[in-house]
Amino acid sequence: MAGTIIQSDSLKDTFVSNFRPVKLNGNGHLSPLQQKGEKALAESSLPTRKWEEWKYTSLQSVYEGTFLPSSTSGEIDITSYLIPGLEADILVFHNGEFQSELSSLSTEKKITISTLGELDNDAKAFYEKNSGQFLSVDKNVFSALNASYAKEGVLVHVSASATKEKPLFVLHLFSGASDSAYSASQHRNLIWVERNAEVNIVEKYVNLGEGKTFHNQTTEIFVGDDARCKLTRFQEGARQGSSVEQTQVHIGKNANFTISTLSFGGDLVRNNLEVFLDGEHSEAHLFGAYMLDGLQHVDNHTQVHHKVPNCFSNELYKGIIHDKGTAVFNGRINVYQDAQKTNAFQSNRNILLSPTANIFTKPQLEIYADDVKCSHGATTGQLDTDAMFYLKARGINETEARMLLIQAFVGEVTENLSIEAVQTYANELIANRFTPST
Amino acid sequence: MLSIKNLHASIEDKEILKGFNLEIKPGEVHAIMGPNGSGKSTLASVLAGKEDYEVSEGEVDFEGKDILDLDPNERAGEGIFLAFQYPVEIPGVSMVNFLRTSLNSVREYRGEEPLSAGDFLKLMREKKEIVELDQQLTKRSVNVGFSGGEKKKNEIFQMAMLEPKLAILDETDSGLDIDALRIVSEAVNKLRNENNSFLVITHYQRLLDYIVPDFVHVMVDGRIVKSGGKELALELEEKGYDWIKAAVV
Repeated sequence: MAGTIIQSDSLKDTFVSNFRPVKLNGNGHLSPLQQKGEKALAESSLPTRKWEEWKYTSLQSVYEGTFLPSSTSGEIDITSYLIPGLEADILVFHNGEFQSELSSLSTEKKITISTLGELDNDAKAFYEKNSGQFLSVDKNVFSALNASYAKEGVLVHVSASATKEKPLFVLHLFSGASDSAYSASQHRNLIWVERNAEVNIVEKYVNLGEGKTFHNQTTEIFVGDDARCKLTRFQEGARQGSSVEQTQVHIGKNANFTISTLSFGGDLVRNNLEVFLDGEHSEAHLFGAYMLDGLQHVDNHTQVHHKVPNCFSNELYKGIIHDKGTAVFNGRINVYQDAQKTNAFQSNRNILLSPTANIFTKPQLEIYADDVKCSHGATTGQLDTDAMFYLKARGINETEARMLLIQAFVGEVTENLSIEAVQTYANELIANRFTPST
Repeated sequence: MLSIKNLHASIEDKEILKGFNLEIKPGEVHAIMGPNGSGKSTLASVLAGKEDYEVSEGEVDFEGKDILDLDPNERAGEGIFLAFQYPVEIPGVSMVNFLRTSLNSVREYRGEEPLSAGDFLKLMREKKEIVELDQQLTKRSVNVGFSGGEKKKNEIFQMAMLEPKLAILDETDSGLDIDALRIVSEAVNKLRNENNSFLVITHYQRLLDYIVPDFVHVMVDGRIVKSGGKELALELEEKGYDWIKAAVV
């Protein structure tokens, strides 16, 4: 495919106009953000493999796709999509549409959780004031489309010194109507954790059926001084789910942010994660795991910005790729000139289970301060044959021995999940990922 | 129990075993001694089924079954156990999970029900005492953070858990201090009975003071060149291997 991709305005126009059904139901009134989005949309271009940041991920099939407006039909039993043992408030979306009858929220003082469709006046004012503050709308066509047309999403606002008692569980269900056209949806999330506040959010994205789906999402996260925020994402897109996600995080003084992105599939998944350590003595933990087979393609692009002194960041992404699966990891740590006494670590480790599996990994470190501790590295290998023989010599069969080593490898990521039920669930997904369901 | 006839095996086209013969009957302890590079560890690996080795000729009959076509896990199921010279560290796999999976795999192979969690823990406690294994070690990942001696004890502990018919100890004495050597040997002697057999591979006679063999074989250049009783080990200790090598050539 390389070299044959033609970037033309006409392709963009076609894509945007094809995508247009997704913006249906707009009420005609454009917020300032939407106006900015519209303007950016006119000027933006489609990311192609000629862009350094998109070198290994082609969205050509998306650009050339046709799109259906998101539609929901029939009743869904969500029981089997919940995380067993997780006591949480639950927001359920189906193809991007809020399912209030499947959702349940407890009321907690000083904590606002609302879908964009149901914002009350105060929340709406808060959202309009703060959404789009961080994430530039003109990054590319997806950020512009999202700014102009996303009409749903989640607002989480935790006021100063408040602690969200139960975790928030956001369940995204997708079902496509066709094998050729995408059922498309867009979300725009804002998570705002004020000074000394705390919240723990778990998101799960899962495809119900066989039809193709495409989800374009942005998430802006503000973690105030002394605040703590944890976000865990389960991407279980199965065969036909594609998505582009852009998450931008700003972390204040003495604050702590942890994100875990666990991708168990998806046709074409692109995760952009950008984390800014804005306040001194803050910490960012970025964990990721991916397990791919078939023709699945998952691309994680991350950037950590150390803007001020005395911050800590740790990033660990581990992946196992089977069949003709492709994983991309591109992680960059930027240490700004003033950011002395920075501790920044990054590691990407991969295991390829088949000769046709692909990994493109690029750890990057840019340091402009002189008194820092930084390291980065990437490894790619196979399952340890000595360990395999050792396990087999103890009576364990090939399949089970592989499974044990795979669980051990990815387990280094999941052991950081703080909620026990979530960790158990993740480990079960890992254990069952490459075994045929019985 | 075990009958090896004219076994030839090579790795990367280099022949290591060159017509190896050995008969082991139930209840017997055989020691194989020999200089470095004589093929002792290759023999152990081939018997356990390591895929790096290619068997070009010969047969290995275990309890009436030709085992050369069996996978390593099937051989374990049949009752063959290899105590590794270099036990492998497996980060992230807990000892408990490993042992339970191992034991239940072997039980399943034999058509037995898996052990309940309670029975398993009880068995583990019992067997741990035999090798005086530190309680904390079973909470760690397999062999990770174990000292050399602890790794060897851990091999014997696994052997005690699995109760094999034939145990192959591949230089279990190497790197052991005298206390660990005594513990390991006593554990082997406790597990020894008239139905199981041991094949003890060692470079030094020292181990055989503790685990007294019924037969001692000297291996040179891929085959046994001399066999005798336990006194042969003492003779080797005294004279070294050169006189045997000289006699062979």
